[in-house]
Amino acid sequence: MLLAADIAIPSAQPILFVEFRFLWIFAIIFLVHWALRSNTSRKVWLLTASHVFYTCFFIGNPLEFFPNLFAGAWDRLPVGWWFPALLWGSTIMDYYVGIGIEEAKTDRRKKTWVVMSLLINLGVLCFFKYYGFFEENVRMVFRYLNLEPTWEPLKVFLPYGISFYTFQSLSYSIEVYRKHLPAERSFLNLAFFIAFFPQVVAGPIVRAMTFLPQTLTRKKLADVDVRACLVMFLMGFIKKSCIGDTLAQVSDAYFADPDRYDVFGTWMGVLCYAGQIYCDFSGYSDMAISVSRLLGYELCQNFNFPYFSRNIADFWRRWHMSLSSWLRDYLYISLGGNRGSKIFTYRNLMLTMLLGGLWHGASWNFAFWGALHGFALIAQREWQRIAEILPKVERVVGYIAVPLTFYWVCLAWVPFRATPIYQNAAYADNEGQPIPLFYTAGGFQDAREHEMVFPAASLGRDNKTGNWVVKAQDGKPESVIEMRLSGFDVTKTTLRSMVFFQENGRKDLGGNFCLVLLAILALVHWINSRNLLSTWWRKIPDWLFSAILGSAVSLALYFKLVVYKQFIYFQF
Amino acid sequence: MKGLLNILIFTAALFATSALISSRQPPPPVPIVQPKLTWLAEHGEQYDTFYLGSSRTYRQIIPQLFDSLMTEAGQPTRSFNLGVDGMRPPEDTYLLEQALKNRKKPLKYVFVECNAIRVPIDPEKRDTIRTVYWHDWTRTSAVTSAILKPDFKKKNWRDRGKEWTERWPDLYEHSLLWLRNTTEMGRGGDWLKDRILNRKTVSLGMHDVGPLRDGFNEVKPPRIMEGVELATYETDLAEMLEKPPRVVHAEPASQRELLYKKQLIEKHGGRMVLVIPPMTQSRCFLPEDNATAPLVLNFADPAKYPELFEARHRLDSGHVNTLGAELFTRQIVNQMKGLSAK
Repeated sequence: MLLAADIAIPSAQPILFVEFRFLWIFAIIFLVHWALRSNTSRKVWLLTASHVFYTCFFIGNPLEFFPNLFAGAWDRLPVGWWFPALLWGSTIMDYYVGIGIEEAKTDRRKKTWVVMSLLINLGVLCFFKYYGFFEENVRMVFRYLNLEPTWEPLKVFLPYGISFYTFQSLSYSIEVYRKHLPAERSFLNLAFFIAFFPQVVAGPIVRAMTFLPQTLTRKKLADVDVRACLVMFLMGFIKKSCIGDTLAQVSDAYFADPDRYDVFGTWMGVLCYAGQIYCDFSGYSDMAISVSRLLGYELCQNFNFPYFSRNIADFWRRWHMSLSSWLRDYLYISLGGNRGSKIFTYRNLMLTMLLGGLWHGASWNFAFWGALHGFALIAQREWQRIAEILPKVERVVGYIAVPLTFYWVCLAWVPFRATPIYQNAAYADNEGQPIPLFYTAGGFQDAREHEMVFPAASLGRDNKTGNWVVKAQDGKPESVIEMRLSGFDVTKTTLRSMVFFQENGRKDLGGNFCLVLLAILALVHWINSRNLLSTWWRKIPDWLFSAILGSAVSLALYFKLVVYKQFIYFQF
Repeated sequence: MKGLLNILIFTAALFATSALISSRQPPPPVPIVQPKLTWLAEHGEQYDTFYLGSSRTYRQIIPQLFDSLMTEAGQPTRSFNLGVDGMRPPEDTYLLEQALKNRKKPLKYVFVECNAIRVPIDPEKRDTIRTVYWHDWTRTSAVTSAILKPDFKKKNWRDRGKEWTERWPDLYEHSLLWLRNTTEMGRGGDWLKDRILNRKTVSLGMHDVGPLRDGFNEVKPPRIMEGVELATYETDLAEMLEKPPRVVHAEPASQRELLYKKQLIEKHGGRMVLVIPPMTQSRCFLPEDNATAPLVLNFADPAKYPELFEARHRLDSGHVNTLGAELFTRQIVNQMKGLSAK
């Protein structure tokens, strides 16, 4: 059903926080939650709502899904409809792992339990996330050796959120093993912690140590800072829907045709991507945190103005803080951390960043991104040694520390974003130029307009060349989709332009308006980082706050882009 | 109580700000619609006759031919084709209102394609300005009424339940479209997108107004039915000849739309003529009572108008081709002459 070579495209669409349907769904969850009296009934309600929320990502229209399910029409069910069972499976397993660790009499038995949790959780994650990557690389080796792979490619879809809830679940079993946390005897509490809907699909990666104690106390609506939550939610919405999606127009245009733009266009494309990914992800985190707070639960902060970091280590203390702290506590420290020689420490740093890169996606691009950051962390440590001896030099470098760090981060974003560009001779513009395509799990999309052009059901692979092939209705190959630029080519082209100011093409991108917009956004971001305007809205009366909020929402709706782009971090 | 008051203030501020933004916005760039309205804003007083409907009007009633034939018959007209591909009530009512907004001279006729309110939204068109722009309070209320009070006559409980289940998502969709229209959602985003990509906003050309600037555009490229399509059409036609279409009155909201259009046209001194284009169908929507039933020209009758159903005059089962459009226009004039003689 799932593991067939030719497979139906999932018809289900995730519910995004920026959609209206989320507002009314949340309104119902909020009202029922606060209407319930007991803590247990509230948790049951939120657990149910969380699983319904998560399941909706996979089953599509319930009015079609359930009749097909009950009728046994398996071929008409969306691909991955059963993925929510993985979430339950992980929860049930870690529930018994926690109790098993606590009740184990010997350290060896405790270790057996936690290793089992690690193997199963990471095994499931690795299968869904890396099988395709592994198979593609094996095929490349076969083709390099002039051998023809004889097996049919297996198409494995990545369940939304598996990277996040797996890490969350692992944090529980590891903390119980390390005796930082008692085993949770209430299945309800553990299940609620893992599946809590604001963070289940894209974080923040919440630690069991910080969340589970919150499940023990009954929350009061009077303790919720509703005003702050509404402001935070609106800010997140503006960051994602207005700013992030707008900047994405420039970065998408650039990365669809990187070899056609001049140096200014390259810089605009990369800067806009840096803005897009920050606004997209921090905007989502803001919305998740505010939604959670409205229900009385505190999630961890995930971003702290990372683009004002003074060095790479500082950047990782401010960017995706929940992931970086998870990697530090459970991977870097477990590998030995800095409790050894310099080379040993650097090895651990590089391994952590490489694996952190691969966590983001099954591609060498992400590994390269991680390696760039690992290299930067190592370079920073070496620099710190030198700086101790040369304080004057350190002072001079200090003046450019922030832009230098930002420059390196932008360079590293290039491989992170670079996706291979494809083309098909039959899909061209009015001048006969092939329109760039990029590959997604659903098929090939127009790289500029993000419209599906060749859905997965119409595609096949040529086992000899590895090229994608568009099949006619009778199944025979009709045309070939060729790779115009690999991810490596896109990266190389862009970095050449950014580092050596080499022109790739003559097209410009963005122009003065884009530059001014970025400058204004940077200024506003800096003002926020200094908390210069962060509390004025607390001091005004309720009626004035309501009026200003209403006007702000109106402006936000006016400037949002109507065709929704999906959150970048949903793909991880 | 205080919370409720704050919610009301929030809502009022939201819509007040949206109204202010809307007042400063140029008209939405809706293909076909906006060029026609722009043309009529300057030249509308020249015309005394309009045709309103879908592609079965836009591509099938030729103003130049109609005017010359009516002039020959001693009833000169100057007509404009307000048809738009895919247009149904209540969008057509909105367009008519906009077209007649500042009109001073009296009308003669408005030929209105007789359709019931269309409730379901084509998913592919959901996020287009064309679907959003006509969702003002009046039109959204009309659609909401059509959803909440469907035509339940002669339906059993199971069919009613099925219809309710299918229509409730439409209520949500239309409410959302109303909100999007009222808040001008995304218009600023589109402007930002054009500026940030340093590209000129595409202005809609006048080609939608037709080469003679009378609102008519023929179907291009010309085509005729053949093969399986032709065989299916001939089967449907045979069935229609054997069993004429069943008359339906649809829901009360559709009837009210017809009545409202009639009143609007009469307010401008004109007469509404309902037209049912020549197409194969098993059901035929008609007004319910005489108060709403002005002149009705029903061309969905292959027995009475066989030439309009000949395959060589057809584009498909729902449309005539350019040759067919000439015949159709002549038939309208013939019917009008007949009615005037009475």
